[in-house]
Amino acid sequence: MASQLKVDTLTGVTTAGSIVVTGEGNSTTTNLQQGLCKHWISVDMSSAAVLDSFNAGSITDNGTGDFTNTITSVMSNDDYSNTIGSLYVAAWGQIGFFRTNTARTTALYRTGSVNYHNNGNATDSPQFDTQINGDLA
Amino acid sequence: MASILRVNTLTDASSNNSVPMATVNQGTAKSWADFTMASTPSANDSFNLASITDVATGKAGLVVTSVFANTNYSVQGNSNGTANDDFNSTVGLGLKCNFNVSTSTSTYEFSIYAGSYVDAIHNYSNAHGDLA
Repeated sequence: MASQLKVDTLTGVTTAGSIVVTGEGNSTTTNLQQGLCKHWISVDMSSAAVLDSFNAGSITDNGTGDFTNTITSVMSNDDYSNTIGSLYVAAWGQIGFFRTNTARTTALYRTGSVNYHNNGNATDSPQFDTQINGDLA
Repeated sequence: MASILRVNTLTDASSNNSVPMATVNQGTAKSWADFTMASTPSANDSFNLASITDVATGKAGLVVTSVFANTNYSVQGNSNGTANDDFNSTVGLGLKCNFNVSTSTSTYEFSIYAGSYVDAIHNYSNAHGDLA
């Protein structure tokens, strides 16, 4: 029978922050909280504008191809998986990366964008996308 | 008391933001990791990761605990350092981050190449797909 559950908050019974979901093949399980993306943001570095986002606070334009992004509901530690996509513009050879000269924290991380075909010069990406998988505080 | 809820759709109390359980299943990451290749590869934090094998210099095998249903899963990730702690020293070399998921439902290979294969310090990956 088809069913619909109306609820504003899901909480585990045994452990509040852990809900098990059966996998697509019906033989294994996954953890709902662990699998949820905790933060994503799409930034136009040229205009320093947030195109769209989830659980994102402010962005800071530190210079060409150099941004600091903040997280609203912070992570529990700085060992989160932080992945990138940078819009490829013809002949630019765009590369996105995370800067380590400012250590990331539970509340912020610093990104960089360079032009691979021009000796790695800093370049503002017109769409710089990042996301985080990890543990919320 | 532990319980199982069998439901097809989740929606908020105002009947907005409805999401089918199939979307919950398909849309959640099945594995993610923050790991280093330096010395003995190890994870700083992870989800659904059993172990990391040192395949070769610059190549790590990430072994998941709950395996995928097939080898057609999607892996993405990046690395922000090679032998050093600062990406800037490697930009000119053209850091390449690649994956190989074609051979196993339980292991995907993560490789970092910058002129030659190098053990990167900061690596981040996540995998979406169908669990077995």
